[in-house]
Amino acid sequence: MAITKDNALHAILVHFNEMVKIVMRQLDIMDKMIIDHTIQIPPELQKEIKENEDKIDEYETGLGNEIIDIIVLQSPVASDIRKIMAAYQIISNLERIGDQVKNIDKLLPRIEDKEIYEHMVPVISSMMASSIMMVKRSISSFVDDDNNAAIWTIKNDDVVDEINHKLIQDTIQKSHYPNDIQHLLFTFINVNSIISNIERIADHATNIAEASIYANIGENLRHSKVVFRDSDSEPKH
Amino acid sequence: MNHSMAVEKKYSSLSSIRYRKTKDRLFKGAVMFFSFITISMVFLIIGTLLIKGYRQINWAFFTQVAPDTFSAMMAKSSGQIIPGGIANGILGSLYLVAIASVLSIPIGILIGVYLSENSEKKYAGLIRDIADILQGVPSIVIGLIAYIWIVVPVTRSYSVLAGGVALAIMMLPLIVRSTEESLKRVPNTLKEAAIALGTPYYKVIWRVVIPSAFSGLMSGILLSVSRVLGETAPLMLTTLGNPNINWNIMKPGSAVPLLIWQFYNNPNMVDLIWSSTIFLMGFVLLLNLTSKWIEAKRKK
Amino acid sequence: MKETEEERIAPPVMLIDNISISYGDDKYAVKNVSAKILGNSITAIMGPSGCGKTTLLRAINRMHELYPNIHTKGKIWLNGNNIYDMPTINLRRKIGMVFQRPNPFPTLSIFDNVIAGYKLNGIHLKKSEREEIVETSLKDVALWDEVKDSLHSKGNFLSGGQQQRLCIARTIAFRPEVILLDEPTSALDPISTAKIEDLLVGLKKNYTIIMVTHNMSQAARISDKSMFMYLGELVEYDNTQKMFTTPSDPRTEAYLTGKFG
Repeated sequence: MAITKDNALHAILVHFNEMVKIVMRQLDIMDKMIIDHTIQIPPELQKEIKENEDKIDEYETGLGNEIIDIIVLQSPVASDIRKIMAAYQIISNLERIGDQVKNIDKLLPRIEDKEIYEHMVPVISSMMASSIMMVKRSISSFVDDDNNAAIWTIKNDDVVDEINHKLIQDTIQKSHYPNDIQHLLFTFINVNSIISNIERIADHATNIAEASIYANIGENLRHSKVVFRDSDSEPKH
Repeated sequence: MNHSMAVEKKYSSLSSIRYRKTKDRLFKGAVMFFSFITISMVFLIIGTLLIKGYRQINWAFFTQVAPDTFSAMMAKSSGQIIPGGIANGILGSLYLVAIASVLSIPIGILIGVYLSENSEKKYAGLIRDIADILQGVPSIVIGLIAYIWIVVPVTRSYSVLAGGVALAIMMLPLIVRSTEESLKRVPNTLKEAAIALGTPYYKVIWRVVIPSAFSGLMSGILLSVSRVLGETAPLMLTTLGNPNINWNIMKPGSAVPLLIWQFYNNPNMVDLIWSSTIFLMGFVLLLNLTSKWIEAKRKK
Repeated sequence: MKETEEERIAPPVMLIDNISISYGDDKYAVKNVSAKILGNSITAIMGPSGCGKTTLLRAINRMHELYPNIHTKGKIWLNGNNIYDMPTINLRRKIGMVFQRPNPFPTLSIFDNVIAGYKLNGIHLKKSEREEIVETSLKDVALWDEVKDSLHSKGNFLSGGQQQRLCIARTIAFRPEVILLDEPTSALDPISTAKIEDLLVGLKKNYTIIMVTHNMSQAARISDKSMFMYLGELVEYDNTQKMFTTPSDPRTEAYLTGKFG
């Protein structure tokens, strides 16, 4: 029964899996680049990263609309609505993962001291590997209804944080750099973390504003350009 | 002080209860008594008829015509049952009812259809009033009308046709009213369904509404037939009576009520009235029960 | 990512052309309604009581002419022909109607009910044709398995939902182009309602469906396009998905959010 609802649910899950595939592909590309110590990204790879990024954004908006439609039109309840709301949150997290990849992609060519970078590569790539593992397991916990994988991921977060912190310390300490350089490195790493967290606060503010525009006029403005609206004109984008 | 008031109250309320209970019982008793009288009246009538008439009911009763006065007198004096029967009356009554039905049923149903389809219009109200008036006209007056219209100009003699016409006029208002009521009870949604299928209007009435109202129409027809079976006065002025079985519509014919009247007037044939009455009443009762059975079947 | 609705649905099949319906002198039940109805789709007409939606629906197969003192202005085109120029008998074979209360003919058997349209119109069919039509129609409404052993008995044992499906079978036995439904599930329980909604979604492959409903969730669930009517006027007519998330007219918004109903 409820053919239209079942079809809509099915379509959402299909598109969700497609989006997951693209995000995982981005992560794998990034992983390989790090392992290969690549700093200058070859153009075809760059192109693919950009295309995937655009597709991820498309999927986020499109799936968002599909989810809103199914809630408005089909009034799902119980496990249906829980799955849908979870998917809605996961989608925005997936998009953010895509964003992180995009950012790394922008930051890699800016590395000036290749030596320091190559020294840190083992740490970075092991962090990448464990993050990718967590993403894989958490997604499969959703798609396969695997509670154990979900619990593992949650518990693993703290573990990984600890390990990463330790790894960074060890790598810097065990390097041949003089103490004041090591001191500088530690300081910059911490300061940089503070700065990116502050940046993220601004990002969140932007997201809040976009959500509020959606509430008011029903247009989903994520990933598009906004023009200020006067009283007589329509917003163009 | 308080105590005596309470006691007084108790006693007066008690007596009022007793008073009311007694009233109740008296009333019940009165109702049962009068019902009993009424029912026993019916039993008395039927009983008398049966006792007095059972001997006259035999095969010949149904198959032979009424005897002539002479043979009746002979039989009566020798204490035997009167020979012959009322075959001419039975067949005559059936013939009359058939003619009356052929005339009144189609017209009555058509008028009933018109009334139920157009019940808001003023003209419909007028027709309904006329039907009601017609129902109240004394039967002998209707007989006179039939005399003037049929006996004199058309058949030039007393005739079965005139009797049929008179009975038809009497059946008409009943059929019209019962048709209208039955058709009105058919839910509008049925008509809508047929119309939505592209059925032309007259077909909707003929093939959907009337079949759905069939049992109501049938019971209305049976009731009106049972009513006219016992009419005597109009028949006296139209079909007059016939000692033989007559199939000629232009000539006089017999009928059971007419025979009862004739038997009553003839001292030798008086005994036949009981059996004839039993027959008539039995037939009418049968029609009424059938009509009720049809109604009951419809309601389920 | 999604193809547009217009690409999926066939081109317009019916054009409601400035229809106004009044009874008496100046009481307008429907005022200047125009709309294009796309083929092989479900169009829902919704609105509060008295908004004219039932009158409009009945104007499409001209059953509104049964009401007294009705005056109609405007035209309705079905595949290029003005239905007001067609004889009603032909029109009603192309446009069928299903009503709010199931109304199978009580004196006819289930079999005869399905082909009642042919019988009542005096159209003669060979026995094999009749049986084929009955079987196909009952299968199309998912009733065949439930009644195939009692086709020739009267359907008094059928539930409300089954009776309504029988009425739908009776309508599609004629292979009409358009099926009109006047609140078809408001007299039914939720499970029968869900079954009939699924049935309609399946039927739209072969028919164009226009449905009046007072239940806006039903319109949301199964219709492709929706009309919102208020006080006889067509306030908004758009894709259902758009109308329910971002209605253009504030009256639609008020109705959908329950400010009046």
